[in-house]
Amino acid sequence: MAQNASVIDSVETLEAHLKTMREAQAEFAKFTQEQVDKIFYAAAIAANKARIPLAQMAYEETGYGVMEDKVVKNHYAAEFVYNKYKDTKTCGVIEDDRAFGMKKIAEPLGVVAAVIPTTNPTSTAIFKTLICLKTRNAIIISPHPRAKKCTAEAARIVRDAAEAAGCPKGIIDWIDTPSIELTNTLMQEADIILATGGPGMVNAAYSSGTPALGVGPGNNPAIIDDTADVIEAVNSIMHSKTFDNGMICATEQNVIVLDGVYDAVKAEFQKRGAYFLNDEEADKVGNTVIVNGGVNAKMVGQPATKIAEAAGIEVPAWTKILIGETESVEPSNPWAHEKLTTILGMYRATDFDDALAKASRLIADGGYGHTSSLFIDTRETEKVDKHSEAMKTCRILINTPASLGGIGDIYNFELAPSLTLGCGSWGGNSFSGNLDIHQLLNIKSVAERRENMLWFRTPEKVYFKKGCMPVALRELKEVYGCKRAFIVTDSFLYTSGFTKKIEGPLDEMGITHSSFWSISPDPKLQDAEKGEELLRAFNPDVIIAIGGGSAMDAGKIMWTMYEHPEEKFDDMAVDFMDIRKRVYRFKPMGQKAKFVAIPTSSGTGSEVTPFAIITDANTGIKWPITDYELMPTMSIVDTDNMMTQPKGLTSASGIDVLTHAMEAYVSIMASDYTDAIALKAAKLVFDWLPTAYSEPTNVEARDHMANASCLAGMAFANAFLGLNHSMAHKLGAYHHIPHGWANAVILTRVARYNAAERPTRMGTFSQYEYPHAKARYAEMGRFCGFGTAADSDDVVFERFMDGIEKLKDFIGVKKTIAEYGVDEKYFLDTLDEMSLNAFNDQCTGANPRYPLVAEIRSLYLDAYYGRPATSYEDEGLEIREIEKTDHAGQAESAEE
Amino acid sequence: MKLSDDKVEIVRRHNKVVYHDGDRTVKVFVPTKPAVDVFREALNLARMEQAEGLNTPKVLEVSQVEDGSWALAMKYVPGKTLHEMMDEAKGTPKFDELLKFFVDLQIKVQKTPAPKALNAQGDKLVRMISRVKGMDPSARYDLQMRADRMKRGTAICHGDFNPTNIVVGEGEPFVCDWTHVTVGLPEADAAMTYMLLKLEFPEAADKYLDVYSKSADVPKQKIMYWLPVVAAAELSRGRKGNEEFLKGWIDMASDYE
Repeated sequence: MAQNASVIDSVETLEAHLKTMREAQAEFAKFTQEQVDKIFYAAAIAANKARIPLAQMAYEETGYGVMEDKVVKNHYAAEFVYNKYKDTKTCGVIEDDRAFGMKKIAEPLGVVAAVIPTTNPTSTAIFKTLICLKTRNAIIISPHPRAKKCTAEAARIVRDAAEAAGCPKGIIDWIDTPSIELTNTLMQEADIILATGGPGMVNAAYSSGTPALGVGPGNNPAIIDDTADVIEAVNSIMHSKTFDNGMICATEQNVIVLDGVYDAVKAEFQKRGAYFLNDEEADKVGNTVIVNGGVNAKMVGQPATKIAEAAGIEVPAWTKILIGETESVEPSNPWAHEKLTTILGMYRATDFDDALAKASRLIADGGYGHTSSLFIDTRETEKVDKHSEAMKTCRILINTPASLGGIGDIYNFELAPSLTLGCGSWGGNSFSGNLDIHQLLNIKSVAERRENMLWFRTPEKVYFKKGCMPVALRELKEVYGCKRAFIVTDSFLYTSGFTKKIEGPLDEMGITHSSFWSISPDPKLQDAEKGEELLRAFNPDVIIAIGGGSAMDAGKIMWTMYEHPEEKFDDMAVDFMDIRKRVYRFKPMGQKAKFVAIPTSSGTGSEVTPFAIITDANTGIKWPITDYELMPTMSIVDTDNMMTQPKGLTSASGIDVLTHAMEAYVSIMASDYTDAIALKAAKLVFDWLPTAYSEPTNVEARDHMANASCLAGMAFANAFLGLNHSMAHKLGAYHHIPHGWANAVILTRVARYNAAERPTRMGTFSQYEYPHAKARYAEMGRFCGFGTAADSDDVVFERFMDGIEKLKDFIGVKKTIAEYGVDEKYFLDTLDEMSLNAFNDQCTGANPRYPLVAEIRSLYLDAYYGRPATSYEDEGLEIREIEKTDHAGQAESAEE
Repeated sequence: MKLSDDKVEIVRRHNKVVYHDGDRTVKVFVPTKPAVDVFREALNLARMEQAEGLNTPKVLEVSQVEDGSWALAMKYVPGKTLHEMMDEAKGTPKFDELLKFFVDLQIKVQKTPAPKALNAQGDKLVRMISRVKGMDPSARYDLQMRADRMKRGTAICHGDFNPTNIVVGEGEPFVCDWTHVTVGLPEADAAMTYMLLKLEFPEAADKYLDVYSKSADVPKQKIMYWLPVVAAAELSRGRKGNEEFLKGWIDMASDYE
C-alpha cells in the first residue's frame, strides 16, 4: 500500500491509487449488510462530530458563506442522510418474491468519481462519501482548487472512521492538486461520476464517456400570491436567502409579488432587515454582482454589507439582504440572473398569470429543471395546480424556505435528504430527483420462469340433447324475466320456418318478439347495421341468434352494437399476442340484453366461443372480433335443429370440427381442460361423421356430431387455433373455398409441418417448453384409435394422418386447392399477398410452430398442386432459397 | 529574404514590423519569435487559400532576413482598412452601414466550409489560458474546464476578427491575418471580436454585439458565456495596458451548485 501513502498530484499517482482502490473495492463488495451498516454508522458519527472544525475550515479557505450555516449543512449531511438510509438494504438480496419468481440483488457500481464544488465543499464531501460507504462503492474526490483542503479533510475524517470500523483501506481518496488533466483522467477511468458543479463541470462529466449523475444551476423565482401569509412568506425568504449567504442553488433569486400584497411584502422585508435599493443603487449592485451575464466570483456568498461596499453604496450595518425592485425579466437585466449571494430581485405582478409568465421567463434564463417556489394559501388549489403545471422545474416548493427546503427532509419529509439536486432533461441532467443511494447501486433482477395463469371460460349455461330447445327457452321468462326477444337468423332458415319453433314458445310465455333474417353466408357489417336499427327500435332484453356460424356471428356483432354503439370495430378488431394484454379493452356486455345462441349446423362452435367475424361490404375488410364478453349467455344445442343439414354442409362443418379439435390440442395455449374435450371431440368426429354424412337422418350420429362441434368450440375458445385456420381463412377470402373444406384440404400438410422436430421457429408462450407437436398429434391419434402405447409416435402419427385422409375421401373432400376450381394464374398472382395475410391472421399466434411467410407460401403451393407431403423439418436451404429468389428484387432496392 | 530599400513601414507591434515592399507585404518578426509560430501562420494562410469564396492574401515566402529573424511575405493587398473607414465615418449613418458590413463579412467567413486540419478553437483556448502568468489557479481551473468543454464547432473562427484586419479596395474585401484561425463555435469567435472592439474601438463594441446577435440569430447570452474564456486567452498574449480590464472579466463563478 505504498502508493496510498502518497498524494495524488499526477496522472501516474492517480493511476496507482485507482489500482489499489479497485482491489479494495472488490474486497468491500463482499461485505455483508451488517458490516456495511457498522461502517456507515461510524462514519456518520465521525462526520457529525467534526461538523464545526470542518465548517470553520471551509469558510476560511473559500471565503464564502457563513461558518455557522456551514455547521448546519455538515450536520445535516451526516445526520439526516444516516437517518434516512440506516435501515435500507443495500447489500445482496434486497427483495425476494417467491410467488412471482423475482429476486432483486444490490451490487455496488465500483469506483465513483465525485466532483465537489466550492459552495458546499465539506457537506457535499460528507454526503457523497457516506452514500458510497452505504452502497459499498469506492469514491475518489476531485475537489475544487479553491476548497481542496477542507474537502480533503472532510473525506479524511469519514475515511478514517470507516477504516477503523473495518472498511478496506483506500476506499475513500481524493486528488490533492486538482487540475484539468487529473479531473479528466479521473472522469474517464471511474465507473460513474457524481458531478456537482457549474455547467462546465457537468458537461465534462456527461461528455467523458463514463455514466454520470450531474446536476445543474438554478434560478428560483418565488411567487408571493395575494392569498399568502405575508409574514410567513417574507420571513421564509429572508431565512432562506441569508442561509450561508444565499449559496445553495435552490435559493430564491427573485421574488414576484402580486400587486395586492406588494406594499405589505415590502414593509415586512424592511422590518426584517432588507434594504431596498433605489434605481441608481440597483444598477450599481447589479453590475457589480453580474458581469457579462455571469456571477462575479468575488461576490458569491458574501454578506449584503460587503456587496454594498463593493458597489460603492452605503447601507445600514443591520442590512441582511439587498433588494432591487426591477421590471425586466430579460437576460439583459443583471437582476434576472442567478446571483448566489445576498441580493434579491423583486417584481410586481398585476395578477397570478402575469406572475407565472414572469417566473417561467426567469427559469428560462438559467434555471431550467431546478427549483421554483410559491407562497400561497394552500386552499387555492386551482392556482397551486396551475403553478405546478407551468413551472419547468423538478422541485416546486410551497410555502417553504427554498435553500433548506430543496435539499429535503427539513420542511418536507418525503423529499430525500440530498446535496445533489437533479434537474432532469430540462437542465441537461440524467435524473430529476434528489440524488439518493439507489442511484449508486446496480440492481440485478433474477427472474425465474413462471407460467401464465390460464383459464377455462364457457357460457354460463349450455343446454343440449334432442328436443331441449323449448325447455331451455322457458328460462327466458322464468329465470331472466325477459319481455322482448329479438330473433336473428338467415333468410333460408326463416323461410324454412325455423324461427316458428322459437316464436311459439315465446308467444306462450307472453314474450313479445321480432325477427331479422337478412343475414348472408359471409355476414356483412351492412346487414348488422340494418339489424341494429331494428334492434334499437325494438329495444329487446334478449337477442336469440339461430343458425350456422354466420347468424350467430352477426348476432354477436349486433349485440355489441346495441350495447355499445359508441365503440369502433377498428378498435375492437385490434390484433393481440396475449388477449389479456391487448391494447383495446372490451366494455362489459349483457347490460341491455342477454344473448342466446342456437346452432343449426354442427361445425363452428360459435355458440360457445368468444369470436365473431364480420365483413365490411364497402371496403372488403374483415373484422375478426375476439373477447370473452362476446360469450353467449346461454347456448342451446338441440339436435332437432340439425337434422336437415345437407350433405355438403355435414361434410364441411364436420371436418371443421376435427380441425378445431386438432389445432386446440397442439396449441401453445392448450391445457388439461381443453385437452380433455379436444380429444373427445376428435374421437366423436372419427366415430360419427361418416354415419352422419351417409345417413343424414341418423339421430344418434347427428347428436354426437352436435356435441363434438360444441366441445371443440369450448376447446378452441380457450386454447385458440393455429396456422391451419389462418391459411384456410385466406383460401376462403381469396378463392371462396367453403371454410370447412379450406381447412380440410391443407389439414394433414399443416399437421406434418407443425410436427417437425426441428422447426425453423417455435411458438412463444411461457407454458410451451419445446417443440412437441408430433407427440401431441400421436396422443390424439392413439385416443382416436390409430395406435396403442406400444406404437411409436412416428408410427401413430402416420396412421393418424392416413386416417384423416381416408375420412376426407369418404366425406368428399377434394385433394388439392386446384380441384376446387382455383385458377392457377390467379392463385400464383395472389400467392404472396395471401401468404403474408395468413401469417398476419390472429390464429397464427397460438400455432406450435411460428411460421415464416415463405414457409406458408410453400405450403400453399404444395397444397395447390397436391405435391406429396414429405418432411417439413428445417433443412435450412429450400425455404431460404425460395425466399432468396422471390425477394431478390426487393433486397436490391433495400440496399440502395 | 531581402527587403528592398523602397519598403514602407505599415505598422510596428511589440513582436513584429509590417512593411509594404513593392507588390508584397512582409511581416518581419522579432528575433525571439519562434520559427514554429511563423510557419504556422504561413500554413494557416495557405490553408485559408483553399477556402472557397474568401479573399485572403496569398502567401509567397517564409525565410530569414539578414539578422536571422523570420519573415513572412504575402501578396500586397491594396486598399484601406475597414478600421480607417469606420474611424472616418464616426457619428454618421455610414458608420452603422460599415458595422453591418463588418458583421456580415464575419458571418460569411463563419459560414464558409472550413478547410481540413485547422486547429480546434477549444484546444487553442485551453493552451492559451494555461500560459497566463499570475492567474489565480482556481480561476484558471474554472476557465480551462469551460474552454475544454467547448463543443467541437464546424465554423471558421478567424480568432482576431477586427476592422484593422479587413482591407477594402476594389471588388471583394480581403480578410487578413489568419494567425489565430481555428475551427469552432461562431459565438465564441464573436465574443473574441466583442472583446477586441471593447479594447481597441470601444464605440463600436456594444453596437457590434447587437448587430451580430440579430444578424446571426444568436442570443447575446451565448456570446457572453465565452467572454471570461476569451479574456483569459487574451491575457496570455501579454499585451500591456489591457490587463486590468481583462482581469475584471475573468472573475466569474462557474463553480456552483
